[in-house]
Amino acid sequence: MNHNAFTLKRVCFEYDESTQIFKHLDLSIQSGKIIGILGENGCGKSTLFKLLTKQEEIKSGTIEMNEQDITLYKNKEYSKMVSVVHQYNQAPRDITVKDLVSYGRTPYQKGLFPSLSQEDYNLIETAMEDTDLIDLKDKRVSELSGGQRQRVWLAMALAQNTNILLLDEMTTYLDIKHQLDILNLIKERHDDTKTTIVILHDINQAIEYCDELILLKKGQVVAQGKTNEIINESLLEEVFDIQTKIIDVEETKMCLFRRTREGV
Amino acid sequence: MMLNNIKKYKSVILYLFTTLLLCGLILYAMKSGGIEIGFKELWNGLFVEYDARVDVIFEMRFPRIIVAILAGALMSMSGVLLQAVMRNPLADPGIMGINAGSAFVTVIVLALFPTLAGFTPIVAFVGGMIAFGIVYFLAYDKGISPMKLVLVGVGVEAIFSALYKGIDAFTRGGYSNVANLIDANISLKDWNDVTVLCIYALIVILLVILIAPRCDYLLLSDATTRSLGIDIHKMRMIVSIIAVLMASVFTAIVGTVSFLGLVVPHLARILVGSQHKRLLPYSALLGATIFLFADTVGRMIAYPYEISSSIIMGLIGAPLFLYLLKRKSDIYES
Repeated sequence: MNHNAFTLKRVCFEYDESTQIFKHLDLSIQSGKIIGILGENGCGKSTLFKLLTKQEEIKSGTIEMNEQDITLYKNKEYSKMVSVVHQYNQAPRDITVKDLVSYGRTPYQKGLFPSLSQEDYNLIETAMEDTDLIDLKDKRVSELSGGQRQRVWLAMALAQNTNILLLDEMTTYLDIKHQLDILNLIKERHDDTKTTIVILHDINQAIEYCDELILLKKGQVVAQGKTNEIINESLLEEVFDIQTKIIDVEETKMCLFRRTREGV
Repeated sequence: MMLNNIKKYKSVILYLFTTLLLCGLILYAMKSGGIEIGFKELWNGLFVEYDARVDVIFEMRFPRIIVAILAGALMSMSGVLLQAVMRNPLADPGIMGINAGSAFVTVIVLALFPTLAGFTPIVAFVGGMIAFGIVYFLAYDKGISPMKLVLVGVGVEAIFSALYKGIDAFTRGGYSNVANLIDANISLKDWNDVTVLCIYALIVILLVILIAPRCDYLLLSDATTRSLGIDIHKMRMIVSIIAVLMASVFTAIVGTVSFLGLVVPHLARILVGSQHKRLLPYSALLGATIFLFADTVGRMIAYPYEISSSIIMGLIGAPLFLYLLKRKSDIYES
């Protein structure tokens, strides 16, 4: 029986008083799976990530990671357990792939004059191998294509060697081949000691790659469970306000979208 | 591997070249001026036997040269740190009004308590932090855009320089120190100034050595640094304080000079890249060279009249500043 990677209890959050994002949100995210979070724009997906990565603080309630309140972890300790790839990134124009990936070892460095150990080098090398970046390791990140760049940021998060990996729409602006490359890579390196939580825009990709889905609407969980068990036409209509038809293709479900709603 | 070797080689050559340039400038600055003197005579006067002419040079010219070198190094490193902290290529202690804030407080203290001259770097620091705080507060809106920083900086700079120039007008005559600060005139610097500057420079350089390896994180987005377990707000605070301290020490001893802290970091970044463990020391070396150059040129170009080093820096720096307004940022976003 897996424990919970995250447990949210009666979480309330708002950016300002007029727009409440979460009101008494309860949510458990089991460890060991690839979990997709789906929902329309403004449903609270990205905000949820900001709370889980301690970028924003909740107003009330508790969030636990590995059964301990996340506010009790020191930043450094937390970043040895949870890593994240953001949708937008910034880096100096002249930084190389290898140097950027090695930032992933930051949480493990100690002392006034930090330096990389042999173990650090090995993990950096492995992260670059896993993301197929070895041939590019001396290149500047700013000279790479969008898909390659996202792999570099993913490699940095992998070098952090955490059990929980959060991916925030990291494929959104890539073309379809690079989207699938990244999703395949994530699927391949996943095992049941790890938890990967992804925010995806593409419903079919979510169905294909995620073991479990969490569907959000207006800050509330509408449905949560094994992908194949919960996905159906009425749920998608409820969450996204769209008409769909779900068909089976080679044992996976596929979602077809209707262009207009009936009567419109 | 080959590429790495060439890169290492390149930075060694750069350091060597710049050091040679600085040494040449020092030699030229030592022998040139009101008293023209040969190197042999200088050597004998310094180490062999007393020579009245050499003694004048030792008391007048040497402190000036050392002040220019140390101050140039401090101001340039201050520029590097501010540009990193604000993630902004146009950050400069002069343009941002930090120098003016420091000068304002220093001028007040010098006018009221002339005996406190040795502590001016500390009071200048208070003034610098006030100006920095105002600029940060007014320009901050989920990050600071380069243009907004410059515009707010111009405003803050105008207020403080109006204030210290006003005070100077009230007190003109009695306090030549004040007038010298405003013109950034270092012709009257003596060994006392060198001692004060050395003490503060030593403290600041130790602090820079401690923070240099961590400054690279300032160039990543806040969300990324936080997920690497770094307290970015604390770090930004510490680096800002050190940057303002360096600019304030400069202002307290030398005066207000714009563009030095802007131009040097950019040249250095083009030459050695944006990694701070390389960028900071090279900026210090290049800044020392350029500021000594500006001071020596200002001293010699229209001899016996002196042109202030701040005017020469304006001539060199302002065109580069205009060019930088057009150039793309050194940080990419995707």
